[in-house]
Amino acid sequence: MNKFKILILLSIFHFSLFAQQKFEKEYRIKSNEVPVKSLQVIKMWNFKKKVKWYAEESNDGKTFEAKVGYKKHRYSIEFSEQGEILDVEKTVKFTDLSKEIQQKIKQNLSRRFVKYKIKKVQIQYLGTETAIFNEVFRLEKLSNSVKINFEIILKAKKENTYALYEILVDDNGDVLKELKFKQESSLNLEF
Amino acid sequence: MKNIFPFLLIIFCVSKVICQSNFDAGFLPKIVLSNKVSDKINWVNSIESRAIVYDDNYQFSHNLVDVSSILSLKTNLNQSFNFGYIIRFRNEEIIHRTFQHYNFVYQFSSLKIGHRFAFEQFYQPKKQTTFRTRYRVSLEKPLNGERVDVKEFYIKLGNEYLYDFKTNDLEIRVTPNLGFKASKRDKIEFGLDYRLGRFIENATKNNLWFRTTWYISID
Repeated sequence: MNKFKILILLSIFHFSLFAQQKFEKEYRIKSNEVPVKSLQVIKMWNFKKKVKWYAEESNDGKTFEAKVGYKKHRYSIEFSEQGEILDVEKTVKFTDLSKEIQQKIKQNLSRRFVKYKIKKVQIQYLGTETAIFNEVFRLEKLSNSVKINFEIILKAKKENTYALYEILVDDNGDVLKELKFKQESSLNLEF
Repeated sequence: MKNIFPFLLIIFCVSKVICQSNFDAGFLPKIVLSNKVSDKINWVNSIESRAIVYDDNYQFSHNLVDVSSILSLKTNLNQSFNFGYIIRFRNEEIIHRTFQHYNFVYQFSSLKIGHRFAFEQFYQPKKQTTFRTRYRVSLEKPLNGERVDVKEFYIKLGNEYLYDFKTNDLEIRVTPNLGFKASKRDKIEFGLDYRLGRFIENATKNNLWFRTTWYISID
């Protein structure tokens, strides 16, 4: 094979790699740009504080997120492109969780990491609009139709290096997902 | 677009203040190129030029060129120590500078805050070595959404204090910038760099530079 052919092959390989890169974009939008159904849900839930809307586009599709403060917690309500509720996330302190779940999470994290420091904890509620609303905002647990997970951001050490991880834990403390992510470059804040 | 308004207001106010006193003004274009050597080490090189457009009266003259090379050691996920060298070519003279930086950056939901502590040594032939210390705080906020994505704008505000041990005097810098993330690897910033010198001596010296900085990261 001559050098020219190798070069063409390398170029194709390079472009195919490029095409597989994860695409993600998040931006603020106005309430008139969100799916009608999701807007209706948020209006019905009648928050006193201002609701901020965001759109998130990625390779997996587009979602809409309403962010609002309610009773000293930050809530994020995620909707599909059709306006169906996907989940509600409530930002809490790790110590706000029950002692039992704290213990289970700590045990699991200690097994996975040499050292770790919890940066952010969100309780994730999955279920129907009515069930989520009753459980999250009216604090009424009418049935077991709302599934609860915990999304935890942590700085952790595996072998010799520290990295940031996003961990999804179920209500038994078992890890469902572990995602390592890169810290954004701060070149422009350092130099 | 309404988010750009405060930024324009700052530029307007700073310009207004400067226009009422004696000052130097000009352009400071800069390119910063960062190469990843390993997970914990970056090699950062930069070149910066200074052109004067106002020095008591309007003129256009090339003033100096700074070329720097820095070894940046990541000591934690959000902390680094930088060791660098700058060579400054100003007319016929050459000034050598070595410096040490300690940086830490905090990330909040939509705000990033960077702190930089620095110590600098200046060397010139037939002159005594001089020392300077400086502290800078910088804030970065996206203009759309909670994080800066590719093809999005952001604002960056900087405030720096520089103390010269030889003159025992203080210089204060205020740097409002409008940034644009052109790709995953490069950001470009446009803004002002207002410098208030001889602050303690009270013989105030004003400089206003129009800055353009292009940050390129090669992983």
